[in-house]
Amino acid sequence: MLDADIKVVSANRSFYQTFKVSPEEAKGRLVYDLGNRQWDIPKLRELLEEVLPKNTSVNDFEVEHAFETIGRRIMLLNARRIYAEANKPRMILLAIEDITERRKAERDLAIHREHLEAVNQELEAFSYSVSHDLRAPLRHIDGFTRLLAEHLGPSLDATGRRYLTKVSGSARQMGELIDDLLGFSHIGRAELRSTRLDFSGLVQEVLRFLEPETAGRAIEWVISALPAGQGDPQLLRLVFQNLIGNALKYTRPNHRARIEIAVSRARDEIIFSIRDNGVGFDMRHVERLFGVFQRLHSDAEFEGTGIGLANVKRIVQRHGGRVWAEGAVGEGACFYFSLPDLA
Amino acid sequence: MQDLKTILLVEDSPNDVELTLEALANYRLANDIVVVNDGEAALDYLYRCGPFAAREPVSPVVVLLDLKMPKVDGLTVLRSVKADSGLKCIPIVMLTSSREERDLVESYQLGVNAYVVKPVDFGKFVEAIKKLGYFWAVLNEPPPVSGHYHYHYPSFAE
Repeated sequence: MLDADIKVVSANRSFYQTFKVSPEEAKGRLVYDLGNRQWDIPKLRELLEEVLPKNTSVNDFEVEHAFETIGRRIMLLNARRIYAEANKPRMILLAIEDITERRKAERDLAIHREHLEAVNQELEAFSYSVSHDLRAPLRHIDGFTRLLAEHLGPSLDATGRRYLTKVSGSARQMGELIDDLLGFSHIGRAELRSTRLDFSGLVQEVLRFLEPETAGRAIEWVISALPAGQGDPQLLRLVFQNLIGNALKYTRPNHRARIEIAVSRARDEIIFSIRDNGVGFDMRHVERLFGVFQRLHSDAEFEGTGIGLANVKRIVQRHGGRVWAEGAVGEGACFYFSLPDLA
Repeated sequence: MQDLKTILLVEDSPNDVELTLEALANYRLANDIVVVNDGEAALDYLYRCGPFAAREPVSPVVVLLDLKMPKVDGLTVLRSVKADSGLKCIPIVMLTSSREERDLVESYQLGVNAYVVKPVDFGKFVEAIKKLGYFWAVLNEPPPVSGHYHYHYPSFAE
């Protein structure tokens, strides 16, 4: 508390302790004279001296100073006029806040953010380069393999043809893996475009999309009424597409497939489940299901690169939800995912 | 006068040049194909300077332009052509290995006429090149040469 002459009237304990000054020493002295004249800053002086005559205030005035008692700190000063009592002289309330730690935290955060941005940029450059530079040689391998086959024509025997087919097949497979990996990385970085959406409509769209795979098969669909919710429609469509697509794939050996899509609410989550009566899986491998390029079946049994469930997990986690699965060999599987219930 | 329907292929990778020529040969397009190996040579050709100062002043029917090339890349060539009132009518097809969205967006913003991602599968690549060649070199009516207007009357002979 300062009087009209900017002399100290009183201060709180923390002030006395921090600046190692006793109430007796401080009282009645000009604030500028305290502690090696550390507050004697022309601009601050000017501002403080205006407070009472002009009814102004000092707002967030920063002082960085090597204080004798506490070392180099950053202080934030605010001051304004206060009325003690009627007919008593008006005074100035000066608040001094040590913001050194806050500033340091802000600076650390900024450095951290810069670092993250750099990493992100590097990742972007990496995936850009992968997408360009790794695909080109694969194209050349496949192209020249085909040209070689044409060139050799009838002089190419069955074994030679088989080898060339394998070279081509591997090149194309690597092309698919690269595309899948880029897609996976894109899903992790793409901006979430969250809107209100109707899950029943979304599932119907996915079923229409998957029609080529359902045509001619005996499938019993059991689909509950699904609620409306919130999320990125494009990404969540991918989730349903993958899970329903998997259910279709792994029930292919079944004489009659049964696929059930249900929903339940638990506390603050909406939980979707996609259950099938297909080949299932061993619960010992459940942890591997959602890994990148992790597969529990050979390509000969069921095709695929093993990116689908990794994408599902990433999308659901980006929406703040969870994924898990249950299954048994020969008895089907059930995949669950939850989304925060924002309703 | 017989139009010289030239296709300009701008491609730095010799492998890609060979495969693209092979794919075009498959379709037996009657066009002359001029191959240049970088963006700088492409601009020289289009502006008829440097080694191409003496070429016929006829624009190619289409430019097949690789996106990623050392020094002057495809986007730079595209920007330059589309900003030039004398050249901007030449159809440009971007051929690229990548599906990167920002390249796609930037190419269209610069006024590309088509954007084709080269498939890894050579069969599909041949198919893509065939369709491209057919569309741009046969089906598409090129822009009239400035100053000369060719009127086409419907022909019942076709």
